[in-house]
Amino acid sequence: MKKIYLSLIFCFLYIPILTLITLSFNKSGLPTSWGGFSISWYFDLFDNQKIFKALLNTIIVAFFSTAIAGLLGTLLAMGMELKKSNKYVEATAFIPMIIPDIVMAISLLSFFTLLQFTLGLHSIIISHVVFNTAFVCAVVRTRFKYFDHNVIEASYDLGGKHVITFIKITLPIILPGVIAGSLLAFTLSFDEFIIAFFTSGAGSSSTTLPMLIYSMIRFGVTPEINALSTFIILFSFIIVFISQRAVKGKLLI
Amino acid sequence: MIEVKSITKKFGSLFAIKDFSIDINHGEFFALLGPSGCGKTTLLRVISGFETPDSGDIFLDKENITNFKPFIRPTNLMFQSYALFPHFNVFKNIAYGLEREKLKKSEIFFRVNEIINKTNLNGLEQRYPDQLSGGQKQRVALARCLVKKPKVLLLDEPLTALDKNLKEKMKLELKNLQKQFGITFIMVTHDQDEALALADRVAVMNEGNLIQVGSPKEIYSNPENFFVAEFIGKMNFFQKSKIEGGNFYFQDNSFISLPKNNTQNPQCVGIRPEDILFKAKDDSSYVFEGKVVDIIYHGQENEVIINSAISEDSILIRCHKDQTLNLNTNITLYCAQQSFRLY
Repeated sequence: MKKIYLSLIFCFLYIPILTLITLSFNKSGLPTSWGGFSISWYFDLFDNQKIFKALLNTIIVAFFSTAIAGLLGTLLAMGMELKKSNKYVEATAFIPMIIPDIVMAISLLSFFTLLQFTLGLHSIIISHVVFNTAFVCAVVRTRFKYFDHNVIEASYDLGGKHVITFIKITLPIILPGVIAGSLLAFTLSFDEFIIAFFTSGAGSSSTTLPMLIYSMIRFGVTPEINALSTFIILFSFIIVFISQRAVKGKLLI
Repeated sequence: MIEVKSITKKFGSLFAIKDFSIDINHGEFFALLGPSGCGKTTLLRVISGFETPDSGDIFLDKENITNFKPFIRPTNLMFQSYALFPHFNVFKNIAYGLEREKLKKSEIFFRVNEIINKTNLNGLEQRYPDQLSGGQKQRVALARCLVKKPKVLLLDEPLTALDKNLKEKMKLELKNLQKQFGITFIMVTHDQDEALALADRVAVMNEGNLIQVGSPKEIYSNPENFFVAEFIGKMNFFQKSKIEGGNFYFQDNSFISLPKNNTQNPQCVGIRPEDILFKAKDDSSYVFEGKVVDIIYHGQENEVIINSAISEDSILIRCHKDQTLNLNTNITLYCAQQSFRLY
């Protein structure tokens, strides 16, 4: 009986995704009829300059916001775990994770407008750093629970100054957490729509992939979008898989 | 060699160590003994440089090292949890401290191998800490410190994490290593057996104060005050009913005579279980009757619980395995007058 419940839930979760993947191979291009197997939509996808540009933008945003958030989130986690922290710092650090995206999007937009900040890819990057830092911090902190913090003092005691201790001891031990947190941040940033939409500015030059898909979908779901989504699913799946392994420490240690 | 001079350390408004002074000699195995929260670990962390004292100084070979950071102090600390680097194998764990001294690779290799031989770690060089047993981890932690040839090795509860049989084995090993290397060891422990068995001198601490320093023998046979008497070993205490005419009266009005030169006003007298005998040592022995209420079997020497009119609390005595005692029978016991201690 339990197995039936479980399979029903899995069907509910994954049938839409499987439908999408199947339709991306549909020759007819109509979601209502199956016209035979084809990979032509994938070729169309690669020919589409707009999609290519949006993909590039998305990768730029995801890469830079992940790099900055990876650094800030790791340092924040170290500070919270190794120095005396209090519950207010902890609560504040996690607000960006739980605050509704739409609220954050509006507040960031009003903030940038107040500062008369020009909008573009850089403002999307800054906005993504805000929530990514919280996610990286949360993942890295779990890694800190895995080891005896005395090893840091042991390193000082054996003659390792602060920088050496960080490079030789602390960082290698928490690295799986840093990698897992960064990969999570990358996927979050990669498919983030609302905040990017609000903070990208007027021009089409800073359109990211989710924004492009949204604008394309107004003229109906094309098989091209299905093909693109299939790619994104595959990519996200790989990243989540790697990050899960990294959290368990199988990646490096 | 190490002089601790009037160290005071406060956490908030709480005194962890109060105006603490002590001299530790070169090559000595020194134990800081006390109940948990007595400040012994804080003192160890002050000596190793992880805590800065609020006042007072620490001298090592006449040099004031109070403000030296841990990474330049010629002391090394063995952590209670061992704190081995989980991502390094045994060899790299031991070599880490020498690499920080920027020694030549060949010298590091030589010294690490030398210490691996001395601490019986041969064949384990490539293992990672999570592939080692408790005793092996401890030896790696020791080797990692000893390879640096520190002037002082500090040990924080070195045996607490080990099970009973291994503890006995490691006690011997620790003592041998200390003799072999001739390094001053300062050990923190709450376990009096460890302190008495290992140390040349023991400092008993309580609430941040030094209570008594001495050799294990001095501490055991001559506890200066009630705290040490109660904390070290086992001791029976008998409350007084009154002191009159230079005599100390027990609850049942029997008495012992106090020493002629006694000026204090003792609240109770204490006597070690092994000083309560089944036979009189001399004519002046104090004699009392008691009923055997329990026998706790240990093997060679067993503990016997006695109820007697001379004391409200039960009395603990020891008896050899060959002596037959029956429960609920009355026995006569003897104590030499000089084995009573006044508190």
